[in-house]
Amino acid sequence: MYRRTLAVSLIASLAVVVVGAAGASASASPASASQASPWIHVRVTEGGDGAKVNVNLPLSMVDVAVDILEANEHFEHGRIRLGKLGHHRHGDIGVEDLRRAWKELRAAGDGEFVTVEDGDDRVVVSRRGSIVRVEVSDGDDEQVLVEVPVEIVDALLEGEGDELDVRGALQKLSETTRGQIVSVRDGETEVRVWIDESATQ
Amino acid sequence: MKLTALILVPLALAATLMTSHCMIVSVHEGGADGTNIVVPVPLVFAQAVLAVTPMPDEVRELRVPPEAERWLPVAGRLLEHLEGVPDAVLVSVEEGDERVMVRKAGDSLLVDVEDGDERVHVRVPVGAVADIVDKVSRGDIHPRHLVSALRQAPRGRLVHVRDGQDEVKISVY
Repeated sequence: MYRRTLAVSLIASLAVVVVGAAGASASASPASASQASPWIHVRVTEGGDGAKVNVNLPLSMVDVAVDILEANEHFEHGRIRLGKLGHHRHGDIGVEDLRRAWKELRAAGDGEFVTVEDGDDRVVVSRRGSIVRVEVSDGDDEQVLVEVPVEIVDALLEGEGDELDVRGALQKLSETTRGQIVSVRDGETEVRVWIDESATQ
Repeated sequence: MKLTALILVPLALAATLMTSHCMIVSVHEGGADGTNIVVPVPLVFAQAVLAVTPMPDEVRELRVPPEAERWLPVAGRLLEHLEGVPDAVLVSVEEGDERVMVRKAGDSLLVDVEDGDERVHVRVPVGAVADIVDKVSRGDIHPRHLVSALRQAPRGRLVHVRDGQDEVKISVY
């Protein structure tokens, strides 16, 4: 049941991301969804007789997804307004803090930016070339790897104040990103999300 | 003169039926010796009847629920965009005996569901549905739009449901 929930959650998340990502093509016409346009693919495989889910969507459809996001009160003109993201002993953490931290980290080049170890749980945020990697593992069978191009993070943090430029990030994703962006392994369940220019997997 | 009219009127009717879209609902129950019901509905007549028949209050007072109102333009844009998407399998799900496939083929979105002995095939003419959504989002709700959309739809089978020995088919020719 948990795995199914995980798979469904991921697909739902993807749907939202897809909607946003094609925001890239905010000006794209339906005809622009041609064979040469990028497609986002999701594959969820549960072990044994479990479910196999494949989703293939043209990234240009993400434009519509942005419209769906716009229905949210915190989302306006492709940008999402976030409040404080969390607390630490020096006070609240906001988007501005993230923006400053990213500026420093971006200038630092390759390396491990953040490593958190708590028992068997381990989170590592690192940069290799033009890719920011977020690796999460819990010591059992659960592993999450998210690979985001540096320019996507740049675009996301382009907003001002406590805004994140989701439309801009998705546009950049559509224009420049090809290859795997998310990989999740949880026991026998695997999830892959990738972008290429083929309509099939 | 009367004889000529007696021959020409049925011929004219038959010619109209043959040249206009006709929806055929076919229901089969109970295997080889079961019951067959076939109902042909000439869409041009259906549309004419709906145009002149006063709608009951329940239909005339139909309104889009407020919670659906803001999503209709999004649905319209999604359908409009879908028309331009190249043919491809968009979603496929397999789990045990269950299979679901959603694919774009030409002007249509095809949905196939299999679950043991049950089979469901639905062809959604994207352009025709987009037209309906557009009208409904402008508050224009009337059954004739459905008939009009069916007349625009590519000819062929729209729905095929098989559950064991029972079958329902809806086609437009």
